[in-house]
Amino acid sequence: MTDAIISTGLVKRVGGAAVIDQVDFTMPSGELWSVIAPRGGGRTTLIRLIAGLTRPDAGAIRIFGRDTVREATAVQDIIGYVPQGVGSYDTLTVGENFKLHADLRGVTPDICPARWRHVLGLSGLTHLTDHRAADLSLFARRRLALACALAAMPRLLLLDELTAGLDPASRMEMLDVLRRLAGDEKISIFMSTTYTDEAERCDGVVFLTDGRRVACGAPRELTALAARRMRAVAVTAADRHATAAWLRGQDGVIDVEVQRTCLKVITDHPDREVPSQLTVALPSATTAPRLDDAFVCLLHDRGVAMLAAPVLHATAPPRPPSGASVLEVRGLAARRHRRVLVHGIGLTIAPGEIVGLIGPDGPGRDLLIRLLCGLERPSAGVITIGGIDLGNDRRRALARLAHIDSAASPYPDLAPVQILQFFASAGSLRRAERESRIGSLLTELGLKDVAAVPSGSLSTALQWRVALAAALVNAPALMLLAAPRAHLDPLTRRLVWSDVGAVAAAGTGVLIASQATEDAELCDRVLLLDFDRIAGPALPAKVAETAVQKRPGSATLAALSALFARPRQGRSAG
Amino acid sequence: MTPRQRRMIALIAKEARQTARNRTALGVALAGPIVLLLLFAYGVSLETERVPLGIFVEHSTPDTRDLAGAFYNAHYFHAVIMDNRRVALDKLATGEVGGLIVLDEDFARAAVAEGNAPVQVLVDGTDARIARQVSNYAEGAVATWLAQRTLAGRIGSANSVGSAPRVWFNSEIKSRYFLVPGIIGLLMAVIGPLLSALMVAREREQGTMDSILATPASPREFMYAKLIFYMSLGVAAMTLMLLVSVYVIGVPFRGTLRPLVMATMLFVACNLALGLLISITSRNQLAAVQLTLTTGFLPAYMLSGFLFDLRNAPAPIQWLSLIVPSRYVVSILQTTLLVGDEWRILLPDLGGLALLAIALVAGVGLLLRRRMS
Repeated sequence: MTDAIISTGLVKRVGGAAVIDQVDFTMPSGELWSVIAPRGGGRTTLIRLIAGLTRPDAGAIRIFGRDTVREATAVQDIIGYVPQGVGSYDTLTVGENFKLHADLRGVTPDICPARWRHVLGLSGLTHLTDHRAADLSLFARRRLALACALAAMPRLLLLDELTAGLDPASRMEMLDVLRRLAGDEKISIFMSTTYTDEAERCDGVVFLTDGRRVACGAPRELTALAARRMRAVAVTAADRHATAAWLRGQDGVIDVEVQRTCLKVITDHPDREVPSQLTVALPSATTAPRLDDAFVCLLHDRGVAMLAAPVLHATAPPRPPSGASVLEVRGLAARRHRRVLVHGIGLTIAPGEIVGLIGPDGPGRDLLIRLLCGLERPSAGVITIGGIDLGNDRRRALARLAHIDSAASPYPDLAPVQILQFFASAGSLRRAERESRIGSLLTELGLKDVAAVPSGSLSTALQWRVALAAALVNAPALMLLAAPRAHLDPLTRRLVWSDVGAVAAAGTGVLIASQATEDAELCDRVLLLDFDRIAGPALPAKVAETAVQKRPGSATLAALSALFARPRQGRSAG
Repeated sequence: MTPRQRRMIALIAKEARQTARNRTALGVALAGPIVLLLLFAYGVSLETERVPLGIFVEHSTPDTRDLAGAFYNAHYFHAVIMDNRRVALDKLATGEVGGLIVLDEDFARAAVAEGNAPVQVLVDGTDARIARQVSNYAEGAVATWLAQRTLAGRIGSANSVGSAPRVWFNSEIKSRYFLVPGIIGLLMAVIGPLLSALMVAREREQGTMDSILATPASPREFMYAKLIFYMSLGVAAMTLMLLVSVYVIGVPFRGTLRPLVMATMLFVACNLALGLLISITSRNQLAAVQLTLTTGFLPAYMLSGFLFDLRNAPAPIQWLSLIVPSRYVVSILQTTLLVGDEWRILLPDLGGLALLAIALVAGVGLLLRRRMS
């Protein structure tokens, strides 16, 4: 049988710069593959090239033996493509959206009803045909886009970030659907994703950085590569940041991931030994090598170095009185559109503590974050930030809080130093103090050399550092970080976590909202949020939320997976 | 039915469904123009009415009373008679009156004795447009008064040669009649491109455009389906506006439907194609709106002859106006509505409009091909 995709010497330039540079790979028929790359790494361009939506500048792609440029029409007849975004028309119903694609692909009406039922059955949308697309949940909309692409039963399905923004349970469910399509329907699938846990479930992975192929192969082979270079070190909660900082300075250590009871260390060579004064941790689920680790190794071997973890000496926040908390929330409740979305939230964060707010994306989590930022008023309960009551003295309380809602630079057109000056001018620091603080932040976060460069042109990692510096410039007691995982490459994701560790080590409390269960292990404590997913505004949905505060550990992880796996009300509709 | 026809029908049906369910689009396309047309037609006027006018009478005689009465009764003015020179000049200085008619000692004497009465007209020149009209009206009023006196035989025959102006095509000289065609051209020049540009930018942002283009439907089919559907919407909007102009606002309709229909179709095609060109080049909805305003609205406002007479413009500006579709349509509408089917004007205008339409629609196809490769 011919291969589904053969890419040879593929090059695509945009304005002189190569977005795709000499990419070769061969994907056998009937398999599920993913391309994984950092932001701007060439994922979307690669998929658009395969879909024939843009022409390569050099090289060629053959889909089941047909050239995407010379036999464009023949190729378009056998592919289905789901672009980024919602991909279906808001004001049309599920049925009308599907029919449009069926008509455009020349699926004649007489065989359409049968195809219709079959495809809707595959994507689980059968009872939603008369709903408008705008009324569906994001998960259902993505399944609709998938159904549209399947209208003519393509031989190759191209999916561009089909799972972006979905919660872990939905993402895994989507992967189940894709696995079934590849297995039962013999449809070859090539998808792009930022999530390594999805890539781990594929038959093959193409890993791109700056448009170049860094690795290509089965996820298990790639992970095995990393396994031989990984060590786990046992630590206690008290000394882990110090130990990690020391380890990072050692020869041959590429990366240290700080978990609650152990450090996951990646070395440059399989023969490196753990320094004798440290205890080797027992292998466990959390120390097992992941695809992420493989990418860290691969990137290091190609000379892509990670930024050094910062030590925040000069920029640590003022020491609070002992026993004081940076955040105290009691009996918090709030509603939106007359629905109670948040209730009974109680939470205390001590200086230097990292607390995770873990749970699926939802209006409840969104509202909780807005409450903490003082953007909305609670219907009951008290929020105290750095010892100041948010309800009484909003301005002074918010001066103690920093909120990062995106790991990218807040103002891409401005240089880091301008951004810091702007954020500092909103704070209460005196001019001289401000200047010296900006100077030390730029130094400690490794931004000194790029202080005057427009921040939008910086690498993902440096842009995160700019966002971090802007958050720290007013010496906050509490740092609130929303969804640090979305759209980041493995390296930057690790950098975010090691930086968060440094921020906490300097005495700032950190609250991280995340939907990734893996993140729970990296926190001191987690607040599990259970939001029922809602199908959309037009469908009735009860949203309730409960919060459990637990110490992470295997029991927590079990609770988490139960939380995500539990069938919910409204699930069948959404 | 060929596959291509089936695809076009599917795409046009999609546009129709979307628009029928999108109240904003319908509002922008149909209700907006009518509201704006009425607002402009009744709110904007280039006429000067009830301008406060001072009449300074130094020495009251039957003649001065007669002339002052003429001003008093004219509906252009709101006349105030004064007998103190200082107060009168003061009022002119503070802008309380827009002009001042001075009938001094000489007037009373000369009007009777010599038959050519000196009337001094002082005008507040701050607003040049009002100033010119006040002075014209005032001079006209004085001339008329003198002429009437001559006919009545009360003074000599020195001014027996008079002019009797007669206004053709807009006998009431209502600026509204002249403005309405311009407003229609202006509104369509904004709404047309805005509709098509926004809809494509939206598809691009939501990723729906890519998902259509990955099917056998070509970019050109996608764009031309939009063009065809929005043509019908645009023609409907323009028909509505013309109906309101003639039946509600009362603009005369002296021509026939034929040139009007041709002009409407060509003009709508021009504007939609312009919108599509904008949407192909702009990245998002915001950029599309900004580009539409600068390429659609501003040229239509300044270079269509709607407010500023193009014949007075420098030659390069006149040449530039040749590529502004509104310029032709404003002229065609003014001609068919106020004059009638004067083909010597209509033919070159329709020809110019047709050339522009062909160029813009072909431009869409050309730019698409370049963008896609």
